[in-house]
Amino acid sequence: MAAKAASNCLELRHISKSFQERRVLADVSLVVREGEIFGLIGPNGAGKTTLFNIITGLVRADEGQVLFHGQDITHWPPPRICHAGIARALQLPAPFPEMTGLENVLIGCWFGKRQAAAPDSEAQARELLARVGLQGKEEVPAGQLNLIDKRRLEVARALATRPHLLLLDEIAAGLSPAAVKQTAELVTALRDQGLTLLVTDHYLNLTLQVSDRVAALDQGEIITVGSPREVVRHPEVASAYLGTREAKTLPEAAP
Amino acid sequence: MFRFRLSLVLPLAAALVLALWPLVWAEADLYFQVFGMACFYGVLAVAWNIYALSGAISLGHAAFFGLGAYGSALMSCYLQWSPAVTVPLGAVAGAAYGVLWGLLFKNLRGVYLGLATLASVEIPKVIIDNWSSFTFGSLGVVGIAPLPDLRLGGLELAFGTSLKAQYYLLLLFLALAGLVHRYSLVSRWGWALRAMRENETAAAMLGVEVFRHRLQALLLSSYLTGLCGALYAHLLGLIEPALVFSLHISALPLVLSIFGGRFLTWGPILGALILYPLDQLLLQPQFPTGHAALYGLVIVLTILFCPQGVAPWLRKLRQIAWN
Repeated sequence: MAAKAASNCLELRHISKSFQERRVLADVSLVVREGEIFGLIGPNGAGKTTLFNIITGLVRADEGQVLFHGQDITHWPPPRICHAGIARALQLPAPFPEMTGLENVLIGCWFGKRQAAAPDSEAQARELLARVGLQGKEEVPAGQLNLIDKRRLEVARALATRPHLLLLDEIAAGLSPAAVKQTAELVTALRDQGLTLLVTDHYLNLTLQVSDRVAALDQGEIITVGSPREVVRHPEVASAYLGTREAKTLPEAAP
Repeated sequence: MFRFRLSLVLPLAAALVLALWPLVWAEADLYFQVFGMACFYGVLAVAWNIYALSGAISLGHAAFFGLGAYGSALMSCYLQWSPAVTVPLGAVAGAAYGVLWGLLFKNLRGVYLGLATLASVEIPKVIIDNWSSFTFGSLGVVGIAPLPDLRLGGLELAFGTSLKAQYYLLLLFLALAGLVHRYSLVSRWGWALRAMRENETAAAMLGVEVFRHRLQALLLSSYLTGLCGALYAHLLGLIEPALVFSLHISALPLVLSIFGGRFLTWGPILGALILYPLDQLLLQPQFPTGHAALYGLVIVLTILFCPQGVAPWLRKLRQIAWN
């Protein structure tokens, strides 16, 4: 039992949330294991972003618990959750517009997870920027970057907080196929480094391709959890989200 | 390297000029008073701006000013303590109200915060106005002890009577406030304020403790404003609620900071050192009836053509001149 708890990175227990009359999440329970890429799929309005907001402390769950490494973090404020080791790249990028790209990342380095301060935050920040493909744009004010670069900056900034668990919200939306491929490589490389990732995306190819396990969410409820192949073939998923034709073709795209 | 030095040399040179001109021009009480008060309002602008740096625009700093003034004046009146003690202690009244703001207005932003701060000035004002047995009510406190004299070896600094000595005291006060302002911009703490000012949600998710840092900024801001109020009481010798809790006191630091440039170390200070003497020495004597309108026009023109204030504009000019 203890060993099992240790291998759970994030555990959601019976999370429910309503906004006024509308039920957005209904009794959602999930386990994200240490070191895996966990994909969360579901159509628009399925509750993916609300779930992310609850995990990062921006929104309070009506019911249920969030456990991180076995510790109850349900009603912690966002900075404390960040210090514990959860970082997130937002769906709509929210850079510090007047700061340069480098300064944006430095904020993450300086205020992120508490540990011995990195001796050279600036070198580390530059490395992270290069890693997401923003080399040469270190000195550009973040407000002047285009949408795709802002998204990249979100990822670099989140990584700068030295997280255990990284939440990536709609990371590939609007990216070119080449950029999607880069993102896939980055996500896999991060996992191989020991990070745990929870990703959502409309661009199913990416999620299904990189995820170790996938959960399908529809109208605030978990339909099924399993390997990408299993989830796509699940009849309810196919009807709720993918459409039957896509359900036939997509598994072939996955390795 | 050279530009870095220049950015240090210019403020130092300005400080030197401000420190030395009274030695050359010995009898100029009008100028001592005007530039002394310009320094004073410079501190007020810096104090206001420290809270504004955290992304909170206050329209009610007169509350801290008035509470600091009454705190020190009443303490000196009832306990007969020296202003050297009552000024720093009296300012605590302002800071305490600041902490109250921080807790009550925790979730207010933007216009709502502005309105709440504006309205909260009325509470201490009305209480002091009506609690006549303790505060002397709307008549105000008169005959407040002047600042004490200081003997440093052969040098006698008559802060109570000499406008020149007062000028130096206020200049020193401004220099200290300038250092605090610099810290609030360039330190790690200053970067936390900047991050939450530019995007509060993102800052919180990156580990910036928004509530704690904003409360610290407010504490510092309200204490400094309280200090200004306390000094004001002893410099003037009389205070009344309508004077120290006036809208003018809340609005002036905002105007000076925005005119000078809120995001540069010497921006609010520059605003005070330009606008206040301009009004007192040029507009008032030349246009005694219409000076307020001209003053307003200067501010409107600044906001229209230099929305970032004059400091960034001057910096750009300097860069052009050097290249």
